[in-house]
Amino acid sequence: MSINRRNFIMATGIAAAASSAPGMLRAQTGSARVVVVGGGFGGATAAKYLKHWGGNKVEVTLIDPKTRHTSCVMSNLVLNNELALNDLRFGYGDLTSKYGVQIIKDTVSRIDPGGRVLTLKNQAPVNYDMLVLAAGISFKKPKGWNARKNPHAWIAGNQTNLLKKQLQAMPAGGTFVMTIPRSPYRCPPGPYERACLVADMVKSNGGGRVVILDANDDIQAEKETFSRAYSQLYGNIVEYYPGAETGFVDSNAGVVETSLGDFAGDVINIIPTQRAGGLVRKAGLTDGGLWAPVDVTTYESSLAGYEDIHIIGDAQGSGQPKSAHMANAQAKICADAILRKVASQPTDHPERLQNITTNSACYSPITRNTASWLTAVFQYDIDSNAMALAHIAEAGEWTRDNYSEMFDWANNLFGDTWG
Amino acid sequence: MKHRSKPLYLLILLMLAGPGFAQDPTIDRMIAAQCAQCHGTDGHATGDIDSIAGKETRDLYDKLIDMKEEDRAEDIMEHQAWGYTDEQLYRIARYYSTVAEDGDEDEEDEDEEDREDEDDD
Ligand SMILES: Cc1cc2nc3c(=O)[nH]c(=O)nc-3n(C[C@H](O)[C@H](O)[C@H](O)COP(=O)(O)OP(=O)(O)OC[C@H]3O[C@@H](n4cnc5c(N)ncnc54)[C@H](O)[C@@H]3O)c2cc1C
Ligand code: HEC
Repeated sequence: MSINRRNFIMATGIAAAASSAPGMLRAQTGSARVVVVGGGFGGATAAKYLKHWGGNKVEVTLIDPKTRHTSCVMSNLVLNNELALNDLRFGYGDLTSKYGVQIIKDTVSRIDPGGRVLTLKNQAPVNYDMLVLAAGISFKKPKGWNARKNPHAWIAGNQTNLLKKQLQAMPAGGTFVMTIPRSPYRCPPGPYERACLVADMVKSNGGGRVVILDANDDIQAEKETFSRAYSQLYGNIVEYYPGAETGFVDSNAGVVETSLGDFAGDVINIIPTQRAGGLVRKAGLTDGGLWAPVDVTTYESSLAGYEDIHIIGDAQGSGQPKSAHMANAQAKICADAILRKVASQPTDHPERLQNITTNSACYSPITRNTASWLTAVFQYDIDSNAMALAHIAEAGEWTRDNYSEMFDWANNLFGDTWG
Repeated sequence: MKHRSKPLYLLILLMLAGPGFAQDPTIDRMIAAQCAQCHGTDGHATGDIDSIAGKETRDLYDKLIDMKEEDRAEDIMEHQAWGYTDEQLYRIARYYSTVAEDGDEDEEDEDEEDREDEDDD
């Protein structure tokens, strides 16, 4: 069957995920209580696989302030109207009905690692035996920046729709300015892909400029593909400036000050410097840095005093790419480790260590009907105690086949995460 | 390049069946779960990507080795296969042979509920 915009979500069978009332917490004798914070790609996958593999050995509670998670994956296609934001929203109904995950709709405001208690914004505190944190990223805001005028659209939601509206209202011949922060940031190819899609829109709307202000010295992912696309498809539209560090953002005047000078735009997309979300940082789990150091064989914090606290997804600092596919991959290694710990089994025996792998994949739309891809497989390296790149490849071209395969990939990823 | 896979398959079979060699099926499961992002949970895929649930170990393994031996890998799948050791591919194949094949029942396609835009941040 061919997936297109109309039957995109229907085919996954997960669209109808009902919103579920927060379940009452019941202590089941003999089962460990695992609490997962954040129902995005990392958290939902961890909660699901803990129950899928662990059954009654674990009682799993997922906490997220939203009834449904809005996927960043595919959200650049909301900008050019190929998808609606609602196509990218996923509830937790299947996690509860198929796997028995209990849901609490709330924000975790504080972690007490000693007492193993979470303070919630609105509801009673929650105890845990094991904790998984998958609360994503937050931004380091540049001075002067107002996200309501210059959206980031880097956490999908209203920001995505705001950027879409601004792009639709952009006059012919107008200028789109985008800033890219220093690596590591969420989704390495994401900004370059967004630039392509905006250039595609501008191209069919009578021309204009797409100005990319990259704090990095070079394109951070799929360099071959994006450089070719910028020159071959969008030669008179895209202007790429490497080494452009964003300084003050004058959101009222519509000007971005950078190390390479000032840039004015009709639409300005500020993708700010990123770091682990506030919850993880305030708990001391980043040790004063931007990301949380972890043991990649379990995703447990590698800092002393944080036993049984695991961090997965974009917030951890293992050096693997910050992608949804990868957050899902890490969640499974983490779930496996937690289940072994709960069963008082080792997690560090050679047979396991030799088989810890993760992988990432991103499909990048280059025009409204073609895409490229990037994929990487990582293997645990005992000597460096880190995940080492085993193989990486990029498509190096953009095709219609890749574009339709992108929908199949996304549907399967969404299904494996929330379905 | 099929010729290489046969002896190799037997070798791996022997290795893994040998005395003292652990064969923890939950390790097979852990490696195999890394395929599920694209092939669905336990290999039950949706859309144009094939399900790999319930395939014969040998068939799956041979396919994966063929992909890995492709001199000029082009597809994303070939590049995926390149990232794993032969033994890991064998264990993955063994895992998928133990799960049930896709059922005949249609994918649930319940009605899409009417959903309001939610307020974010
Ligand atoms: C434009 C764009 C395109 C992308 N494309 C791709 C792609 O093609 N492929 C790919 O693999 N990745 C892609 N990504 C990256 C991907 O979206 C992220 O890497 C992924 O979402 C990270 O998952 P996570 O679980 O760490 O965090 P998230 O998915 O962001 O989930 C975090 C969750 O935690 C919740 N939360 C936050 N704070 C709290 C709290 N205090 N208490 C309770 N809950 C909390 C939030 O509500 C949210 O639901 C893209 C990103 C962008 C921006
Ligand atoms: C990034 C996405 C992705 C990942 C990860 C992935 N595959 Fe694939 N796979 C594909 C695509 C795309 C195809 C080609 C379409 C098809 O034939 O299903 C494919 C094809 C296959 C095929 C051939 C199907 C057939 O019958 O011809 C097998 C077997 C397979 N994959 C096994 C695996 C295994 C095992 C893993 C884990 C090691 C894996 N795949 C991981 C995307 C992926």
